Amino acid sequence: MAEALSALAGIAVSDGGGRVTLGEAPVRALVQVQAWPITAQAVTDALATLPLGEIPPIGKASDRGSYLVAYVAPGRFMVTGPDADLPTRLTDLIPASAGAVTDLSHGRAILSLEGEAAADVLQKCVALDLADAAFPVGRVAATMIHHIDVLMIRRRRTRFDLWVLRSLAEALAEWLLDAGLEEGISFRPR
Amino acid sequence: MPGFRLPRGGSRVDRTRPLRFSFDGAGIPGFAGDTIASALIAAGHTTVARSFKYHRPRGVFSAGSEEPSALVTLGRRGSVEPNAKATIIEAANGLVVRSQNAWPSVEHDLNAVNGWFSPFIAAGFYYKTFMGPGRRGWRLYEPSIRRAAGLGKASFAPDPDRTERAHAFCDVLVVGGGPAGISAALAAGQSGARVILCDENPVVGGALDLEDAIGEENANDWLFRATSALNALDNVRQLTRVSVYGYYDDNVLGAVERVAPADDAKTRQRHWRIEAKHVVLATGALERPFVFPGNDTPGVMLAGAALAYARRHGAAVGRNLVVFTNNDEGWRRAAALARSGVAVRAVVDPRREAPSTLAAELAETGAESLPGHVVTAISGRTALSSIRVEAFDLETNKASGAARGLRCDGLAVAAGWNPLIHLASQAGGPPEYDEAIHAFVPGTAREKWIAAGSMRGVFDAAAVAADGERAGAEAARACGFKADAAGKAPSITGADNLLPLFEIPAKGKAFVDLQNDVTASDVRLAQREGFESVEHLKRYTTLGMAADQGKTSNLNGLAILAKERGLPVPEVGTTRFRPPYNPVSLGALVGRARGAHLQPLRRTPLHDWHVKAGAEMMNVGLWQRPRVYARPGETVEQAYVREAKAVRTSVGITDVSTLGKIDVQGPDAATFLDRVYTNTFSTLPVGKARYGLMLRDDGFLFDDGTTWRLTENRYLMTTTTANAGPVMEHLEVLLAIAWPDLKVSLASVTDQWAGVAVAGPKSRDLLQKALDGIDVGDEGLPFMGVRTGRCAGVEAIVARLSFSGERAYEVYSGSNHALIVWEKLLEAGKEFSVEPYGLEALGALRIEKGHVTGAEINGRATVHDLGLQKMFSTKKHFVGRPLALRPALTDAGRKQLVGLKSLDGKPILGGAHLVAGAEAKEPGRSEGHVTAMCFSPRLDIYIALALLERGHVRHGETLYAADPLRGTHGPVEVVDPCFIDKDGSRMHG
Repeated sequence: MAEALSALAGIAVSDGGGRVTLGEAPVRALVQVQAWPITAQAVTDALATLPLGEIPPIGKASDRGSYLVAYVAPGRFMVTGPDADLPTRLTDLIPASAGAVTDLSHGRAILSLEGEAAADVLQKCVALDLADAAFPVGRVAATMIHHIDVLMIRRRRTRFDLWVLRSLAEALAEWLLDAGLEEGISFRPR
Repeated sequence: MPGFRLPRGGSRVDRTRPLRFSFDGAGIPGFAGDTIASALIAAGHTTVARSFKYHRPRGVFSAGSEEPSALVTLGRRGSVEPNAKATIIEAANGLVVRSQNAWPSVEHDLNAVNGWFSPFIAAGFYYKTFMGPGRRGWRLYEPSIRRAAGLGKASFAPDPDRTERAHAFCDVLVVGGGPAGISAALAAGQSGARVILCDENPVVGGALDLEDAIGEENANDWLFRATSALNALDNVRQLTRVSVYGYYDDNVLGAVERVAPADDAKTRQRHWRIEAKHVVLATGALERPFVFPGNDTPGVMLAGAALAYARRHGAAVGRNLVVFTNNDEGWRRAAALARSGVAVRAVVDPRREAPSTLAAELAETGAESLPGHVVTAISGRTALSSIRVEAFDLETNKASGAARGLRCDGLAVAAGWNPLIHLASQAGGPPEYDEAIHAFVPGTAREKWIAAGSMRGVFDAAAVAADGERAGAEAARACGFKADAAGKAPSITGADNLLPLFEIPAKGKAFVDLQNDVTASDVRLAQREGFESVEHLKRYTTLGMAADQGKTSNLNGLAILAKERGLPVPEVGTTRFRPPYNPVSLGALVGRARGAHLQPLRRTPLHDWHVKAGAEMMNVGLWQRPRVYARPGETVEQAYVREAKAVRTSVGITDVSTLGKIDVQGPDAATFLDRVYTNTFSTLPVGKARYGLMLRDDGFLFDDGTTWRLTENRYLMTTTTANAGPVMEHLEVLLAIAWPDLKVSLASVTDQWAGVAVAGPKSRDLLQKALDGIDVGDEGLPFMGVRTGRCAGVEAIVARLSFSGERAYEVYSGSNHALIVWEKLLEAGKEFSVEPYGLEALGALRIEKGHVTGAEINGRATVHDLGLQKMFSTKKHFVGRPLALRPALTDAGRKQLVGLKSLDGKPILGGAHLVAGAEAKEPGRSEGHVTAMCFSPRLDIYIALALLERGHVRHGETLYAADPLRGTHGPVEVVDPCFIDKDGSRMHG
């Protein structure tokens, strides 16, 4: 398998204490599945036949094993998984009459902010309420950090994943590493 | 030298932590918890500043952010902060503090001569004097006038300090941490609501520490009890040193935190954006002063401030004070001052009778009661030395003339209360005048807030706390929490028997706005000259327009204006309040988005390679792209000419990853493309690409690009780099609103695919070596064909497209594999002397071919203008078609795309205008402009593309490219925009 170059290859490993760590969750496969308005249920049913875990309601993400499914917009699912042929499997599974499958494995990077101060650092950057009750585990939101569009998913109480365009991943990491200076932030590529 | 440090006391200072800072070079001792002002007072300084216009000596006037006089400059070089209020800046070891607006020193300021000219420089003088000669005269006077007046100076050096920005969310925001705010936060917090309590000061408590009792309880005991209860609530967050400056729509408020001074503090300020479901405004009330002659002399200050310095900082403002008041609270403060160790020799009060119990209390301290008297004059210039007191007749409102001198070194004034209604007014209706307290109180609420405590005119401490509790409970209930009803809202019962006397009628300069040097006579002058409305008064005299925004002066100025006009104050009205309540530094608004972080940098997958290869990178929107890969000693022009020649003679590769790419999929994708492009895409066979044009609704050209048909239902659309986002939006809007029935899915894949253009006569040979599984021969991959295969072991899509006019291909691979593919292409191209080429060469190549880019698709050009009318389908409808057919958009006189050849061997400047006049002095009218230029590697001359009126029929004419701003006026020949290979044989092979 040819070596894939991470978008964050230019960022140096650093240790800022232990309260929050920025890392990258390497993307093996990331796929967008878009259903048409009247075929959304058919697509949901088709996705449920794969071992992806429970198909979540809109605005939420659910994970099982190394798969994650996020329902991000009407009829639009984003799926990540460890198998490089996931885009092909999904294309085969969903007929053109029901929906469209687009491989975005190279087009997005996933940054991960983890630690007891992760919510504090992120709260400096996003204009969404990140309190446990307001943004519980599994919630998905499309928001913006320093002019950069991100899809934010709360994976755990102390972990937030940020999906970003590959071309802006390094800029986003630079911004987050600066924002976390007060708390003490480390960078560790996974 | 009146001020001194009391032997004991000071609730905010820690006497075990002494410190030292400098003021105008002199060392000033202090303790942790001192402000600059309290330390200066304790060290005996009287004059700490010079006034704005007249350069009069000024001292500390207040103990808070309403300070009009004691403005200082902090720090050095890039950290300089001018106009900082000495009354709120906390002292820190080694802090450099300097006075402002004085030379050579604040004690001896030469500019004080301005005061001699004061009759000529009253309010609005520059509207009446310094006129002429002619219109140029003002330009001579203005710089001198500006230099003679002013406050602090800002620095142009880069600011090394860190400012952060943060967001905060809550159910109930309580603004103000005095007894009302604390009670509100407790009531809301105990109901389970998420509460944020903000206060400007380093500790909560507000003005409670100036009281002795709250109801039956000792004030300190109450405070201790209440703050302990607050601290125990996890759901209450206390933000101190935070000033809420603005109240915006949807209950969003802005605040700035002065981060506590600490040796290792990285952050100096933090901006807070707070979203609250409900807000309790408990911002308190300010003491207001009298207006009387000499009231700006150092040593005259607000009575509450004098008491605050004693109680909070253990700093006595003088050894021999007189208190001048028109209400009972002034007497209480006099007694409190005396008990704190600051001797009071007399209380002067215009009311006929002194309040009996209070006067008796005061007599025990040895102070004299002087009811029925007013202060009419001050002696002392850099420090108060004595006052003149006269009997006052309430009937005639005049001083009797029977005067007494009183030696004193401090005059504490207490003339009433101004509720701090700023935030309420920003988020609500106009303020309302309350006769009971002779001040303005909040009007109606537009946003979700409740007012509590002295900011709405309730002054008794126990009533204030009860009012806060009621407001906090009400706010919590409004958020859906259960909070018990806490009794009726206390009513406004008056202000300690206040006598509404604002100005003392007496001869001499009496100041209303200390910071802008506006006097009572300025207010009367404005009214005499017809500036009768309060809005005009403000702007004509600049009353209330300084950094303190008239907190201690607005109402006094209004009262004087009202008296002049013979109207009650409410009829004269008040100006509206706008954010910010306190000055907000630009740094607080910018936060970390400065320098390298001004904008995010958008990098192609090959960015690091370009940088390592020595490319000069240039900004294209958020992207960076290589401009040229110059060799040592090469100019930019030499570099791009070399690169372009390499492409025309052999082969070059360039990074085109920034082009917008959109995945268009679905059973209706073909129909959709036919509707958005001027030409047809439903007829495009699978495995082919086509150049397409997109129009805006108004018929003008929007964008161009190629769209490739990958499968029956799947297309890859490319756009220009700059329009990737706008085109995506345009398409999404059409699908969402115009044609929701179409089954089309869109996904941005700009970042998914890295793109490399391989161009030149040897491009096919190079790709033959570099690619696997694709036949790149002319039959396997014809012009405009699209095939998939592999390169260096990874998936690649290859299209035969040409922007350069040479045989060329575009190789797309997954972005994470871009580097492997690029390096493989370089390796395979070694034998063909492959060169990487940058944006300049890319531009030169396309200019030679007359291919258009965003420089020609400039929002005012049509399909016909650019000579592309063959692509304007007559067989189908598409977006923009109806308005594109308007006669004005197809008129033959329009500016049309032409080529230009320089006739004098000089470059034709981009943006130059095309004129008929040979002389630069008489160019004639502009007939068009140059859109792009380069040195042509093929033709060895400077060429350009331009838009010229009736350009299509003017080939062969000689015109002049005129750029008067940059001083060029050169002859050019109008030619066909395609300079080379008109039949396209080099491209089509």
